[in-house]
Amino acid sequence: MSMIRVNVGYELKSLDEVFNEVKDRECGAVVLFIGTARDLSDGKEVLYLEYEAYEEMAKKEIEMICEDAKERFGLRKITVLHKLGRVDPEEISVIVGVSSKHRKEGFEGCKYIMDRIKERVPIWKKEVFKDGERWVE
Amino acid sequence: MKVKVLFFAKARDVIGKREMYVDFEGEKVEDLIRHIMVHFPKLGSLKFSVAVNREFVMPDHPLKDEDEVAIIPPVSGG
Repeated sequence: MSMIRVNVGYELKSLDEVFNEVKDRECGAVVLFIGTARDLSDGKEVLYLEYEAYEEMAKKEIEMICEDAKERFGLRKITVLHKLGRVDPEEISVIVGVSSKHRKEGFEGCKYIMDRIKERVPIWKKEVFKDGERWVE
Repeated sequence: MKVKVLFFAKARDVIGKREMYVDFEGEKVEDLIRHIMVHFPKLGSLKFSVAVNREFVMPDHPLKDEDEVAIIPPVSGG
């Protein structure tokens, strides 16, 4: 069974499902990062976010980041889910779940994956306001 | 040479299309970009990277017929 699963799409699984997917008998830690939409950007009210991706490439890039993180931090299982389309304030846009023997590698590995996603994966976020919209850069 | 070009996010807004086939004279990514800029000068005001067949490449990357080229503005996932 593959230890890495990545999905970039319009449906997001529940947190329970992600937890059940990454937990592992040999691991003492599961770290879940959950990214949510904020309702303010530079003091301006955001109605909702709209995500778009170069889907095939985004999935491939995230898989490469996960392989790298698995090796680097000795992670056991990794699941990354990124939502596309509309995300309202408080809703989840991204989940990164990892399992590791001890918590330190888990925290560091999870942060590394998220940082790399923000840096180089072709996914874009648009903020929609009452009176307009803008691509976040 | 004829390649497929994909535009995302801000680049799509500027060009007004998500994808198109581009027939151009030249061999490299930079030749293609120069050709596109002639027809869509507004693209010159954008920062972007380029991917060919789903991998990031440099401007001197050689192209071949039917390659899938993507114009990738600064990303903002998460």
